[in-house]
Amino acid sequence: MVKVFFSRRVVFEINDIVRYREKKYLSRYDLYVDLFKQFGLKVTDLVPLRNVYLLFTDKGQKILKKVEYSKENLQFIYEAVEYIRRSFDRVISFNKTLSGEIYAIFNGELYCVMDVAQGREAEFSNPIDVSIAVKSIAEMHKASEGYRCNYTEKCIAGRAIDNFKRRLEELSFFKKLALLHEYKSSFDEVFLTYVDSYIKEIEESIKFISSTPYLKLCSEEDKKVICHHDLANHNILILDDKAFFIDFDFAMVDLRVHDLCNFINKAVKNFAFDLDKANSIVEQYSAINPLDKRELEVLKAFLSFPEDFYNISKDYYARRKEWEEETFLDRLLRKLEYKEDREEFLSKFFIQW
Amino acid sequence: MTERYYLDFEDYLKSRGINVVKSFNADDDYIEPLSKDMVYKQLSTINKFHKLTMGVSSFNSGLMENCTGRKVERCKVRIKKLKRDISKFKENGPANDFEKLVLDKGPEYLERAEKAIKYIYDNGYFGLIERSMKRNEICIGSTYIDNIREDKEINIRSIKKCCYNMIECDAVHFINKLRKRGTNFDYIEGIKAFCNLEGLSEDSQRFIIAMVSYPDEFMKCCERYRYGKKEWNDDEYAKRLLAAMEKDGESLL
Repeated sequence: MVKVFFSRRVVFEINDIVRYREKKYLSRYDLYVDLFKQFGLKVTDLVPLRNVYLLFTDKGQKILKKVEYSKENLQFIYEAVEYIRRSFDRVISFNKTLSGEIYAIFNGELYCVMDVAQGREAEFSNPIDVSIAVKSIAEMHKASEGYRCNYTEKCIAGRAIDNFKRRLEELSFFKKLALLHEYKSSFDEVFLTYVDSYIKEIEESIKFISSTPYLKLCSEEDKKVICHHDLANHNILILDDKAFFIDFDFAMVDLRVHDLCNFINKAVKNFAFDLDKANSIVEQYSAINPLDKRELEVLKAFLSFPEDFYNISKDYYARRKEWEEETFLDRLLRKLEYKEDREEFLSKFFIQW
Repeated sequence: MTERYYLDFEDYLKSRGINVVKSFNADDDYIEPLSKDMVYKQLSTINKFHKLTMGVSSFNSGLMENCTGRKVERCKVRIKKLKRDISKFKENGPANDFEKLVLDKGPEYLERAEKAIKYIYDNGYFGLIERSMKRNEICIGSTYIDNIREDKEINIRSIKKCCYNMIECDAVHFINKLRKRGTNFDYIEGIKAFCNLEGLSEDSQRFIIAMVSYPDEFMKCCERYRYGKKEWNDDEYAKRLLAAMEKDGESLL
């Protein structure tokens, strides 16, 4: 078989047309030879790829990433992936600087360089890809068992109830904010139509999780793993029946059902919350990493939280994203489109498991 | 494994003897509906494109979309949504002629759609996907004679819909185009011929037969009504639904 690489021109075209949303972000990179020198790299060319740069260097292709969080956070990610790598090597690999650091500081900004991961992005409409991904998630979780986290803020096991409560307060605050707006945007109008039903849902989620052995589970070491926490299709690369995981920016230590909940939501939401797909994910995960009844109860409670509505509301009212007004509205409407599907899915999933 | 570099997908196609053209020669115009010979010639062109292009595992650049499984998933979603629509129309009573028509004909079309999807899953769907993934099959997406033709070489106008997918999906697209245009043709025979050319299994034949039996036009029209995608009034929607039923024709299952 011939393996084909396409040149930079194509990547430029793609980034010009499709990935315009990342332009602003990419323009903030300082692409100087001195920065590359710190990593001992001679760069002959570079092209943007999503929100990172692909470097063509004397040591092969590399990824340059501008780190938007603290050194401590980056250090945690490095330690976490290195822990996983002891028995599961399909995770990102950092390149150190000549002075042995995992990052370089240039013009006050933090940069890191990683090896390029081969493979193509997973496609969740493809049941084989979903199956490969879930099996690899289970394997990665197994590999991360026993990890002792020294970064308190990254260990969130036991904080879900408080977290749900905080988010409930935030949503109520966004509601007040929207009501205050004298000239309401279309987003405000739609948000206000639905916010009460979602506030109620979160209240139910809090009751639900409080009724599960959540806190007890969090005290059991074998139930806690390094969670990727952003298992979107573009963070899972498929190569020869195996999945490779990239972008651990949001990684944290929590119950393994946290990641499972994250993956189920992402894998089913664009398919009218396909119950069969979710069932198959739980079954395939359990075949490698058996889940007990208590974990399944917590999984259900996690799934009951309206993550998507909360996130888009926070993105909008807390100005977390630099999107156009219509992008926010479009995304909100898309999420509301599957409201009924999600409700139906949850009721059936709860009975099933 | 060898590594080769291409400027882009168009450059790759060129290296395989496939030209991306702006338009076709006016002398090559065709007459609708297509004759049996023309249909077979087009099936052969589609097959040649597949043979010439498959096997590329592109660098992770988002160069070409991966559409594997999308069509079947979309069909399943539409079934689910129509079921809910029918329940709502029943519960609230039909608000107009369109809803009356959906209440009357919907269950029959729903049954036909569900039968098609079940047939696919019962006949080695996963195996077909695995084969397609292993061979890195590339679909044309837009397979009709207005987009791809063969003279001495294969010429294609638009490569926008080219994607990684099971090659069966190109046959589904082409046969659906023929059916919609009312081409008088033995579709089962055509599907068998396509699978023979491609060296595909009986499961592939079953997949194509089931997918072209799925009432796509009926489902699409219901979706347009559900989301108000077209500025049509209720009567227009009802008319369009009747036309969709006509286009969907009979099930081949």
